[in-house]
Amino acid sequence: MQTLPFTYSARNLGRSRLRLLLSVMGSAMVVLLVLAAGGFVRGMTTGLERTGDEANVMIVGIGSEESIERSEIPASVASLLDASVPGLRTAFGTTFVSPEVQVQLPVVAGAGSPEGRLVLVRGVTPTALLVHSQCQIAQGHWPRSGHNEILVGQLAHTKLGVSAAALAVGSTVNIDGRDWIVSGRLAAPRSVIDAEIWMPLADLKEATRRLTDSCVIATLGTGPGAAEFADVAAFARQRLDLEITAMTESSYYARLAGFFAPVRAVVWITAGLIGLGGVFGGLNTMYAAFASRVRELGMLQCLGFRRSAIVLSMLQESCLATASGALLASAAAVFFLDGVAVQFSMGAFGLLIDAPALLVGLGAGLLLGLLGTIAPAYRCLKLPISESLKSI
Amino acid sequence: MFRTATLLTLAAVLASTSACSKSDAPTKPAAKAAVAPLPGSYFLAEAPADAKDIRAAKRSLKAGDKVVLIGRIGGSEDPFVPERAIFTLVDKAMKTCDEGSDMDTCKTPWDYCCDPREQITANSAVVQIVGPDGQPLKAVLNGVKGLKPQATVTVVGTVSKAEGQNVVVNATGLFVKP
Amino acid sequence: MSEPLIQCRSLTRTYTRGTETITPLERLDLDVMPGEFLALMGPSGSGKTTLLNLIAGIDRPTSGTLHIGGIDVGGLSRSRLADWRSRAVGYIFQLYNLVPVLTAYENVELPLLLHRMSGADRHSRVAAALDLVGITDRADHYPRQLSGGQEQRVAIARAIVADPAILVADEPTGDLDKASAAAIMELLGRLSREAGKTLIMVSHDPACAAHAGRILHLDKGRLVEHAAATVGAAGVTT
Ligand SMILES: Nc1ncnc2c1ncn2[C@@H]1O[C@H](COP(=O)(O)OP(=O)(O)O)[C@@H](O)[C@H]1O
Ligand SMILES: [Mg+2]
Repeated sequence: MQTLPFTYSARNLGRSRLRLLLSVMGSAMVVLLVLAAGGFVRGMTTGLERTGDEANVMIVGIGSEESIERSEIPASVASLLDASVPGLRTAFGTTFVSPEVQVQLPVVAGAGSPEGRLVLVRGVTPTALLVHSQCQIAQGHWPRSGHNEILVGQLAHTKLGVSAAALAVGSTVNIDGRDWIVSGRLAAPRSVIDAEIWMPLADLKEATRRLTDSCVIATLGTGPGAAEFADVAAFARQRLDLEITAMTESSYYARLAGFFAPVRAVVWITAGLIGLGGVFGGLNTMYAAFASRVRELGMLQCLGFRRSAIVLSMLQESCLATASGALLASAAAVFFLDGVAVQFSMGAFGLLIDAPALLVGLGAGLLLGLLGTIAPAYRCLKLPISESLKSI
Repeated sequence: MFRTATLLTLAAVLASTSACSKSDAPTKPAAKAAVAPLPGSYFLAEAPADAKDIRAAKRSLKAGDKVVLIGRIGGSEDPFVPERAIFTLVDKAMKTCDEGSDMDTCKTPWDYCCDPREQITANSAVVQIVGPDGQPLKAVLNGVKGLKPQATVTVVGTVSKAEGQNVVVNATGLFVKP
Repeated sequence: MSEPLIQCRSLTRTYTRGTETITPLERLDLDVMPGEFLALMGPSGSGKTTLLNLIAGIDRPTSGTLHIGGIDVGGLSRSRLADWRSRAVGYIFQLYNLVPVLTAYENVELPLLLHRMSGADRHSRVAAALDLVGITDRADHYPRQLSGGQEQRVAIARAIVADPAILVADEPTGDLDKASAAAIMELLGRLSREAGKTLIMVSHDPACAAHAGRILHLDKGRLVEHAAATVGAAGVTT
């Protein structure tokens, strides 16, 4: 098929400045929206995915595989695991085994709501920093047990709806009716831990009057003699009396991510519906553009150009406009949307405008051009040539 | 074609500028060789006689006892351990979630989730097939010769551990009720 | 000349709109010899454009046959007809139909994009066509920068650039002042005489039709009279 020159498509865009502005800006708006939705979904899923480490195994109570906060296991599990399963990762004579309590507690800070918001509070020992390799103390120091000290994640203020200053090192935070002092800030970029509060395991158990742990997280070793997940799982099976089971940390967070699939679906559907509005806007713009040159379209066919060649040229024209809009929107999204923190029931995460999100955005822009062109193109090309040539 | 290429280039440029934001992937354990199914020699052709129910047997068992136990595979979402010859066996008297009531929506009825945990534990025993090191063999059980959750199995073996509720049997033969 | 280039036999075109049937062209028989310059005259609505469109291959007869250069044009598929058009016919419109976003040069180049040829070949053909219509100095101008007469020259260059045997022109001077019209007619006459094009032109203007070698009068879809150009000029009845 002999195609029309690209310059024809490109220059056609300049026929009406207003129409060009309308289609570029319209597509930019729609794509920005799609990018916001994509950034939300990517941020949420990567947040959950990055929290789970493939090399980490979690031991939780049987039947609590879906919610660690419900899980209760004897405090002895950590030392039993350390003693029974060789080949876990070690450093400086310490095995990477972290007994933890995870519980949602009402937290009041700064000028936030006086009833407080539920935040995931994790009771930990210093080995937590070993197994959660993505975590670092960005500022301050590790909370000393018995001193009412806590670490706060970098996005905890978003989860609480307060300014970052309200959780500065040295400030006081009320957790479940008791005051704690922020001793340091925890950084776990792109992971949901970023929105958590950590405190010494003993302090949290004392404050919540519990004797059990929620889970034990251990890191598998590497190289010969390294423990496999199955070894830890077999250990859990062999101790029927402890009523525990093992799962990989990544599978736990993947399952959590699965629970939020409906939320993500709603976000996509909303973006899709608004995008559909954009398609209808695009239909109008492109119809106006093509209808004003029906005679020219007839002339091109009269010369011998196929209708498919003409449609292709129309598609190029509108996709060029919508792709420019998409590019604008992508730039705007990278500068203004990326990293913007959003809170959700599990914690908080930053919108993530990464390559997949941008590709979806650009795809939406092109789809907009495609969908906005087909119907108007059909209407303008279905006329017999002799009639097109009569059009004014 | 030239125009399609232009658009593709735009897309590629866009993608590459953002690709750098995607940093290190989580550390993956090294790939392992596939684990073989449990050898057929462990499977018995005929049901052993005098099989005892788990709940009753657990009261008197001591380490070193020879036993024949009958029960159903279950007690948790996944009563097996992937790639290890170990599973939990539950007393036949226990009703799985789909048998007890009309609550047959449960996807994993063999986890007995309708019953209190202590009761499941009191009615369970651990069955393993061990190697020379005393640890469970590296073998796949689930799906092999009829072994699957809720399958009725008779186990011939020796008690390796009997401490309170924790009874572990080292099996030498398994009979899966067809 | 031996064989007619264009042979119409019982050529009929009808349109049905609802229950009503319109027959702009009815059982028309017509032969056009190669190199002939034919003018079609007749009142508005008499079927001149309909006949022109059939010969140009952008419309198809309802019944009857139309052979051009031995090809049954009415029997070609849509895409073959498009290919045939791009090789065999140049269409000159009353309103020029130049693409406003393309320069004169690019407008003339357009039909050549349908044919396989080297860039240099294409360039020399476009240059020759522009030269022939005397518009070389305006090659880089956009249509809005040209006068009506100049636009029609560009349109004629576009019609001849692929070197078709047949040119059809639907009131090519209908939108032009007298002087420009005369110049365009002079150009068309030259194309017929010097380039040997077979030219079929619809015109209302007897002065224009007078350039033709033969004038046909259509009325209500039928040929009214055949006359030699000299006679026809005197016998114009519109
Ligand atoms: N597509 C069409 N549908 C219905 N009628 C048509 C169509 N095209 C032309 N006609 C009718 O055919 C007749 C001849 O038209 P045309 O050939 O354009 O006349 P003219 O001699 O003025 O060029 C007119 O009555 C016109 O209304
Ligand atoms: Mg007409």
